[in-house]
Amino acid sequence: MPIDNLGRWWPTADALGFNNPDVQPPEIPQDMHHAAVLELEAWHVQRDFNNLRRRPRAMPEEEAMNPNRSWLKKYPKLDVSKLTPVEGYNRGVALGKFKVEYDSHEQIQQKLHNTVILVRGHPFSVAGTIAMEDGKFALLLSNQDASLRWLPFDEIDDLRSMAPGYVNHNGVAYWVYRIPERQNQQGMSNRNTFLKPAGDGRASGMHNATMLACLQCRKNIPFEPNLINLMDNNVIYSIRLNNNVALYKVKNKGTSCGVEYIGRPLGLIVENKLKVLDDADLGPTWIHKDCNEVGLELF
Amino acid sequence: MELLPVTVGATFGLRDPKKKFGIEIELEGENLPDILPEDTAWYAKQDGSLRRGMEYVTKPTNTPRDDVNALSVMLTERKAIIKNTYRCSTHIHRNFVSKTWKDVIATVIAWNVAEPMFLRLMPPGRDGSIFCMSAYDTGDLPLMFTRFCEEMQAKFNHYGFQTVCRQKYASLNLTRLNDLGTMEFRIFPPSVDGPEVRRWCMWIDNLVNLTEAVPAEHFGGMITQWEKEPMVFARNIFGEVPIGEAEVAALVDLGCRTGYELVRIFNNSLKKKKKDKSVKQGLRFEGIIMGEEPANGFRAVDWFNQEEDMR
Repeated sequence: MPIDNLGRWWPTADALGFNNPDVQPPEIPQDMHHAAVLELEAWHVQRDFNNLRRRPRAMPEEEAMNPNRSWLKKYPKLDVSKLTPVEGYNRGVALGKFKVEYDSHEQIQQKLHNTVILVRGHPFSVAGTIAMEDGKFALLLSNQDASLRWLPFDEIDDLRSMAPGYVNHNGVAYWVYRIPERQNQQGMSNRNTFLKPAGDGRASGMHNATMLACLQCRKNIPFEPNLINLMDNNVIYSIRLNNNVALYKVKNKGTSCGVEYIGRPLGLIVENKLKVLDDADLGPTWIHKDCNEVGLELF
Repeated sequence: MELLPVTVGATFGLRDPKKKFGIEIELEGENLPDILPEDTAWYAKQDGSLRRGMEYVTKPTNTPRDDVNALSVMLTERKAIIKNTYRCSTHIHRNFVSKTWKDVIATVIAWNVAEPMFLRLMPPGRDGSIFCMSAYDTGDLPLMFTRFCEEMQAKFNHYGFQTVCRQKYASLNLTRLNDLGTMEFRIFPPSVDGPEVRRWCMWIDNLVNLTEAVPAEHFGGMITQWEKEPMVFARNIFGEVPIGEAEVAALVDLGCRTGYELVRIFNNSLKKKKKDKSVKQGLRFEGIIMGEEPANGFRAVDWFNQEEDMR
């Protein structure tokens, strides 16, 4: 056992079992006087050992599972025809669908594994990729309830990421957007998709599970004075009204509420109407259209 | 604040090659030559993002059709087999060394208005690709443009040029302005067809020329006019437009939304007043700057650090 003079365990090649795959994790000497310290150290040593040690070679039956074909039997198939198409995130124009025919399992794994994709507008997290026997591929998809289903890649007709838009999560409206980051994932992940709370300038990435939860909450909510009361009572801090408009609480300014439009401040609510901060915003027809859709009148 | 008529070349110390375009063509396939004769307009480069592929780059040129045709002949002579995969594309650089920053801003705005139409006219596989992401698929452009305009006023001396640019995987890449003096348009599919590449270059040239005579104060009116007359805007860039009027109007409307945001940001950046640096920054208390000893020997009390006084 490679333990030094001070009784410390070091992750050397021998200790990690590079020469002997059956090596066991080190035992930590017991000392009643320093039990708490040793317990903590033992935890670190076990962690290092498990992270760094060489794994034993896979058995033949495990090798057969490498392309993950067993998932086809283990989990049910996702029936796409039962998914109602969601129109929550359109761009106002019918754009063409985007699909890439990946040429290898490695490629499809690199581009889609551990990302969020939309199937008929419904968000799914890609929990795994499957190389099928006929040379085609399938994806193991997880929804918000963490139930797993597999879907042939051919049945996915659009890999385009969602349009930027507002979502609700835990009483806060977030502006979710993607950036043209230099990385190789086609699906949305915390490295290329960010969320910014309405009324705040800071943005951050999000975990796939959070993203799934967020993307479910995209109902249009018409503006009502009651929403201001909810904010005054700190029940909610901001709320999505539609894809492009969100309402948020203005800090240190009494009972006034602010309105954000595609990620930037648009105006303040004055007597249940929207007073714009920049008079130029009264010009474009699309801003009027988006605000009128949720019952906000600009002046 | 005024937008000074400074050229890109003067800002970054670049010499104008007096040629309009530079073309990069990424190809994958078999027998692609990795060395080309020196007397041609092309040179070959390895590209890590390609699988068994090569990237062919021109020197600055005014004759994209002839150059691409020459490349096509060279590839045919080497019996190259080209496979069009989703990793391959054509990037067209437009020279901006002698253009002013007003022209850069105007082209960025015009590009974002025309971008949905450009992508609509491309074959499937380009609109939505992660290698040339559009403004309507992403949401960071207004934020980056705000920083760009602020930094432009400071002649890119505060944080540097690269920090205020978006990543290069956007449909319009500005990060080469400071070393090549070009704007890179990345949406085009791989092609070794000379007339086709020349047509794309003409579209880009039309886009740049469209905004050349428009002064910075009239950018807002420019957007309004394009929104009202989408077909005129489309014909000015593409000549004959192979899609219907209703679709063109919808696509220009989508582009105008982004374009309007950019114009608004640009106008707001011009309205900002320059900070008066002659006044020393500090907390003022009845005419005395905190922490600084006036001439008469009186020291202002620092209310936040009174431990010494208490002793």
